Amino acid sequence: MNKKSIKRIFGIDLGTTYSSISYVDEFGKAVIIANSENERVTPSVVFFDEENIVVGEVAKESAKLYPDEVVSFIKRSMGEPNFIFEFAGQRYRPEEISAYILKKLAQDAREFMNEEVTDVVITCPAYFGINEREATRKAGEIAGLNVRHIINEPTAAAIAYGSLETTDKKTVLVYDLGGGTFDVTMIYISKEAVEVVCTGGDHNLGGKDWDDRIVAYLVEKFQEETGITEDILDDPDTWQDLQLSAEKAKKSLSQRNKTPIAITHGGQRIKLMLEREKFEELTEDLLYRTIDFTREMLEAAEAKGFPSFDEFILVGGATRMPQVIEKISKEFNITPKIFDPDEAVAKGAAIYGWKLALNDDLIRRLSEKTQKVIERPETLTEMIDKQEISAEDFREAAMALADESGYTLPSVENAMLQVRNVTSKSFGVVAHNPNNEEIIFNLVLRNTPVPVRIKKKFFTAAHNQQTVLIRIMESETSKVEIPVDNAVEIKKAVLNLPSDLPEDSPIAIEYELNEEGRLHITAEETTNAQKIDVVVDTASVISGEEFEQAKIRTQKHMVL
Amino acid sequence: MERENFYILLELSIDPPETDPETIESAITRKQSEWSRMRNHPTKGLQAQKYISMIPEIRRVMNDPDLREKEAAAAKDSNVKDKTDKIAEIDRHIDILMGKGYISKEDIVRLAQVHEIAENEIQDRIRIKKDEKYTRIDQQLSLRMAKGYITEEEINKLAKRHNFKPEDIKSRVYNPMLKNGKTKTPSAPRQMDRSLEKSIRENLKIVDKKSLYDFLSLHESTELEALQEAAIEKKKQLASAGKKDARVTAGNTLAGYCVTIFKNEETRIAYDISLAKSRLAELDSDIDVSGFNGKIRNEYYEVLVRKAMDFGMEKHEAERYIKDYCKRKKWTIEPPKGTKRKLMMVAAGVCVLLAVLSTAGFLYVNHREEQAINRQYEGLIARVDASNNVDEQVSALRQFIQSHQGDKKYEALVDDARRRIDIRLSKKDEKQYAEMSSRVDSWLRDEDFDTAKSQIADYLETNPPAQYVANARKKMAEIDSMAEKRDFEALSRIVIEADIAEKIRALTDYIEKYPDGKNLSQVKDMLNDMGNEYYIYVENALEKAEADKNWEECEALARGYIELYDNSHADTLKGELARYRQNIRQEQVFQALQQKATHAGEDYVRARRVYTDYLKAYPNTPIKKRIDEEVVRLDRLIRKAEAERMKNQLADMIRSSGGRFIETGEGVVKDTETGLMWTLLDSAATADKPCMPFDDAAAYTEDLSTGGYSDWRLPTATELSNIYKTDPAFPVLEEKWYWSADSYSGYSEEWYKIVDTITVSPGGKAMETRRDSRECGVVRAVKD
Repeated sequence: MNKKSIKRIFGIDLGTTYSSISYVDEFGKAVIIANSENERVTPSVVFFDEENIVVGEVAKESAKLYPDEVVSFIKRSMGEPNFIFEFAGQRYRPEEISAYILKKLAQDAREFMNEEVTDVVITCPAYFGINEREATRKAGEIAGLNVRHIINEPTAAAIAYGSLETTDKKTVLVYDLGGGTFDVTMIYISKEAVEVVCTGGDHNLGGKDWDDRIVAYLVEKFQEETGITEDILDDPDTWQDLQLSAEKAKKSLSQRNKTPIAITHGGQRIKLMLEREKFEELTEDLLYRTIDFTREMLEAAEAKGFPSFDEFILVGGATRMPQVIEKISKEFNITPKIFDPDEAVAKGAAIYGWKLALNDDLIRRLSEKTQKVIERPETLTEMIDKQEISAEDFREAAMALADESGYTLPSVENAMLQVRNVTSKSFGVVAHNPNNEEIIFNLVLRNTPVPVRIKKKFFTAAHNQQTVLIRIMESETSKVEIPVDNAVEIKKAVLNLPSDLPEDSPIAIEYELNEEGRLHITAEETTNAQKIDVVVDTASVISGEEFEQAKIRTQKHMVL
Repeated sequence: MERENFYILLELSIDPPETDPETIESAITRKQSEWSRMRNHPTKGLQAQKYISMIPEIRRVMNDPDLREKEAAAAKDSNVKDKTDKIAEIDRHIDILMGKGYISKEDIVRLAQVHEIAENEIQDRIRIKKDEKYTRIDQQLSLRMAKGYITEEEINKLAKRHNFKPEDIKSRVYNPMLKNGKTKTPSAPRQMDRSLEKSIRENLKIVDKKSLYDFLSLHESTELEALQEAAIEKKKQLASAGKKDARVTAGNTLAGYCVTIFKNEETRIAYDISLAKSRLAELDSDIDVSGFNGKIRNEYYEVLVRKAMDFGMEKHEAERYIKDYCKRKKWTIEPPKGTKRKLMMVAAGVCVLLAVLSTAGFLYVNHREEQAINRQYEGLIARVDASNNVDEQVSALRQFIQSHQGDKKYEALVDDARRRIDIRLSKKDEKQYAEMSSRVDSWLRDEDFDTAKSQIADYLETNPPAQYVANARKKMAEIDSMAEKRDFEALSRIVIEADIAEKIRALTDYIEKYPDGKNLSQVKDMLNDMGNEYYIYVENALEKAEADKNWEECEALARGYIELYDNSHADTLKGELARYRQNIRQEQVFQALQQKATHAGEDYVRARRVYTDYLKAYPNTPIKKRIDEEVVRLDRLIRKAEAERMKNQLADMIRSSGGRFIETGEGVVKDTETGLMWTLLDSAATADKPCMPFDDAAAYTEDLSTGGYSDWRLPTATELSNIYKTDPAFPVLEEKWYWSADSYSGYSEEWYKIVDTITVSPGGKAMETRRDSRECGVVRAVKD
């Protein structure tokens, strides 16, 4: 058995419709852990069943019987501050609902592995902004987990893919059409690093939209056949029933050319046959949008010196629809590869977590041995390069680790793999341009590699100005100057100025964005060294007392 | 752009305006959770998302007394506006219903229902309309007078119609339809899917636009290419928007639609038609009002056609639209009254005469050719008539139509052929209906309602014409009501006589079978009254099923009850349900394991591993006990198999012991040198445990009964060493040690026994040792 000298870090794919958890076994291979129902993926559905909270297949099936007690697709509401699910007088935020899903995954994994699940890497769409990422991290914390890292889903998929492919260098386009979100990402894989070149997508476009088109069609057909004019979706039971039927029909149409569907409402029942051709007609525009995003991303990639790609890989359950492959083959003249669509993301996260753990351990060993402080994995590579740490020491530490942990030496040495990401959003500050119009000046542009630190000088507008209001804005353009309407304010900060400061005094603003997309901002009035530090902890995410309460409540609730 | 009024959105009182902060806040939280629930609704989700994002703004406005006051005032205004809109609609509906010349009490009740207002309000409107009508007639007269004179006919017409003038509305609601005139579409244009139309409408509502053209800010006559470009531009514009709120999401969806819809003329025309139709939604609501008892009176029909024409449709388009609409609603349109038809036919006759006169010269020139054509046609008709098969007849006629369609010379004959087809098909339809009808009647005589119904259902599958469909459905309904009556009577008997489970089954069967049954409410009441009684039954049945570990049955019982009742018992059962499900899953797991184990056949070791592997993976599984039992059972089998193997092996070896040992009977070996009888197998192979302490060993020999003997005992140390130490020795398969009967007492901290034992190994020398009696050893029993 594994001697377990290192802490295990699990990888979790927290999906809109399905979630899964994975770990790396003693052979260095990522393995999905089946849940207590012996399924490899768990529906991301939460059912508030009186005392208990049920997550997964049972919850999903319960939606028909108890539509008001079941929450699905919660990921779409992550980072939405005003979404509240109310049940039995209690109010739940999306973070807490997601926490129940995470708790179920961790619980089942613990049961299976017979060890506590504490440290995890959770994935989120590349397209998630600061709010949504922070919300995902909070969900993990509410579930009592130590969230070691939030990584992008396409990156995770690429890591899983890269771990299998042995070729040296490769540019891969990851087309990730999940249950609720769509991401398209260009990734450069080499032995040393997985590097995100460019990313794009829409976090309101996913398999569910395909389902919804079927639902709307069914409603229309039902009205046509029965002459009923009311909207049958106003009945929550019917809504849930149709939602499930639509999902089943969609899946079935990936295999067959037509599928029968029955609709029951108010004592009336009709049966109809949905043909693949009709389905494709109903969803043509959705598919077009994914192609369009892909083209846009390719343009951006070209501008960054990546005019072509070697592989086109499909991730996410919705890519099983034959129309996706057909359309991509036609539009890009390439045969895309379907790569482990349901599991790649969780596995990639697990591999990433495993490398983190190995790294931690290697660094611990090396600093013990050499008595040198190594802050981060990157510094370690640098130190080896500069021969501050000898290759021999490194190899020795790696061997000791391999020996004690039971992992093979090459896999331990490979743990030095680096993941380099880009930001999917631009970040800027509200300022006035020379024409005295209010604009946003973007310091960090989207698709810039992270971590990044950018400093820029601004100037006070008036003599004896008392304060500077710094409005930190997130947007999705690649332009430096944009109108204020085109961005969202994620945080405000005030810098107090000393009195009698002349007009045009310089204020230096620095944006620092880390690998996970966390933003740290410093503003400084340079002449008097007046300074403020702002960590963007985002107002729209659960925090304070509400956060603590959710944590207590989640610990209290039994999750089945 | 106008946003929703918060008072109306929150459903707060406007008159007087609600000002209590607590009431307002609770309305906001209530709506917040309601919208959150709707957040992922397939068609209304975006709207909900939009409302959710408005919450901070709603709080801001509603918590500020000044802003709130303004909001309340605006709510009043918009209410007034709503009311005027509504009155216009009611008036229109009154106009339509008056199309037949009067308005009945029934009509008034119905209108009151449709518009959710009191009947007297409708009556008020009718009175006002009557007054208005006189004013309008005056207006009309003056209009006619404007040209200098007015004919009596004109006055008569006005007087005759004395309701309302279509011309009036014409000027009010004129709205040009898409009739460019230049491109006549020869085939029926492609239809846009209705659910897509609806989705586009919903999304347009969110961005506050009227059409995709409006969305792109382009005119409806814009060229395709420009539309495409605008759509892509629009998408880019949306992509640069910072927020990803409902409006942007709707915008993205619409831009996607624009690209797919404006990709070619065909799809664009489909959309244009759909757009025109959506403008006709108003017309639809008028048709809805006219439909009554599944029928549209002819008077209404004509009014509707006129109205549709006012929207810019041609007459035949209007007729088709209304007919299609009614078909979807399964409504029939009453045919026009006989007198009118006669009148029209006279008029038509005159027209034909005129046409004949004006084309006489042409007719003359073509006379000969025409004769030939006619003869050819007559021949065809003769052949058609000779056939008895309607399908053949129709196909021959169709062939004729196909080959001569569009040829001027054949026009009349093609029309004639069409007519003949119609007649034949309608006769066929009539015959089919009559046949079905008589079959159904004969089943009804036998009171076999189900077969009768299935006959009708089969008939309906054949897509018969509308009037027969209606009749067939009527018949179906009659049968239902007969069957319902019979079943209800039977039910009444069951409810008195049968046991509770049977009663419940009968009642639920009834409800399922007759969702609109006459006695439905009575049956439901009966069912409700049985809630307690049935629960006691379910409880007992559950107890029994639980004892039998029949979890599926448990689940079915509990679920059955929960589906029927919503009471405290049902709540209790809901709690149990999770447990049953868990048990079912475990039972399935266990069965799967059993099945997998069975696959191993007689390889009990492999079968055992199936269970132990599972236990290793799930050490706390609820089926641990059962798995343990299986493992014990398999262990026994494994040992038994092992014993059998050893027995054969030992027997072989004994045969080659040079005659000293002879197997005398089943499992008994005689030492010919001493005359002692030994068991072939030792306790390791035959007992439940592979080894045992000394006291158990003694008991084991005492109870042993094998080879037909029961007087077995523990051997003495001398006896044991004799068979193992003197050659030819007793065969040894593996290393182990045997208890002898010789024991001594010893003391070390407490009293204990020491026993002489002998250790043997294959090919090795047997050795004597003394051991603590509590150690675990093997026994080979002996008898004299």
